[in-house]
Amino acid sequence: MADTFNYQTQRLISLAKSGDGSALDRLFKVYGERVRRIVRLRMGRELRSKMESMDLVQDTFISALRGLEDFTYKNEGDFLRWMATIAENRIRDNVEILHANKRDIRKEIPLSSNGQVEQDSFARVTEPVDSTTPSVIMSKREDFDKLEKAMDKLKPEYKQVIVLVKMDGLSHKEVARRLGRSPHSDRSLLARALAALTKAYGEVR
Amino acid sequence: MTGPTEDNEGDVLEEAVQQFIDAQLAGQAPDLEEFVKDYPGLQDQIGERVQNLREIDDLFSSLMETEDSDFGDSTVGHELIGQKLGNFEILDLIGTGGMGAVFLARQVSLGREVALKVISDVRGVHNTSLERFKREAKVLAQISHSNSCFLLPSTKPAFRRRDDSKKNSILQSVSMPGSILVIRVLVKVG
Repeated sequence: MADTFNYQTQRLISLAKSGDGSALDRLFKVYGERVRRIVRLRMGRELRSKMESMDLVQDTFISALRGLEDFTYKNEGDFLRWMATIAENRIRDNVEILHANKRDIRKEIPLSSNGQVEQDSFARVTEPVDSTTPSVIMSKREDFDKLEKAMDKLKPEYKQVIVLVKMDGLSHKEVARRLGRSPHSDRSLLARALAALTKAYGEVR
Repeated sequence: MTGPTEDNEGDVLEEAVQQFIDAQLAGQAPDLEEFVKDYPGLQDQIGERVQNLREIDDLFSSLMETEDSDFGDSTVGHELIGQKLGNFEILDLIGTGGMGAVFLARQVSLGREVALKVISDVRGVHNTSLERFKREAKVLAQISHSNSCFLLPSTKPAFRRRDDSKKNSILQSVSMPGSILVIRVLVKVG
């Protein structure tokens, strides 16, 4: 899953690195909503609600795209996980900063107004996520909302194993190693987790 | 297996769903119709859960894998208008799709206008899309009518490599040794 190689993506990344703004816009439109969804699925409900109220999503994309210069494209899965990890770290960092400053997160100004970001060549992507982009992800937004709610209902260990397999792209062996379990018991855990998810998914309809 | 009582119905259902999923994870591809026969009274509920599983799998797949349609008309567009591709002069853009674009073109040798379909970059097209394109070409090849469709019979690279920056990727892709010919005349217009 997701280890496919897409030459269109590779080409767009190459163009974006050379400063082609339209290529960067295109990357943002193709991947922005995907990254947002991945981050939301990985996060807990509480962190997710803060992420929404701070309107940090757009800024995290800019941050991730700025790092394109140091990124070497290998496959779709790696690219998505790389973007999502940067976005997630950025969100967590900012949540901590905001908490430390004891500021009301509901009144925060989006970080896209940060001057440093504006000076960057990649800061061109400052438009909100284009909700009119006819992407597969946008057409399934209601289903993704349901999936988020269903994931929220799972035990942490169930959610963890599903994220590792379905989004991080790990094999059963890798997951077992990560969780310190035998491959067989890991498969059993994943089966229980997915069964629980199918139940929760049906309940939130 | 006997039918479940109300007391243990929930447990039996969960166990059945887990077993089904575990078999799938083990690569056994269980047949749902056969599987539910062992659980009288729970067929519909098991079927619903399996359907949920398919929807969930589809959501994760679409999240982690892009499709050609996600890229829209990012790679082929107006830059080809006015250019010459082999025996064809590109006159206008008719429309774009996930795989590329369709142009109004003039077939110079025969002096007629045709619709020309161009894949944006054959290296960037998913195998499934490429197969779909080949199937489309085969179907069109079977139709013989002056006002319907026809194909360019060539399977060899037809265009020279050029260095013009914007057209480079497109023309290089059709001139790559071993690549399929990515230009087909599909519908006779005039």
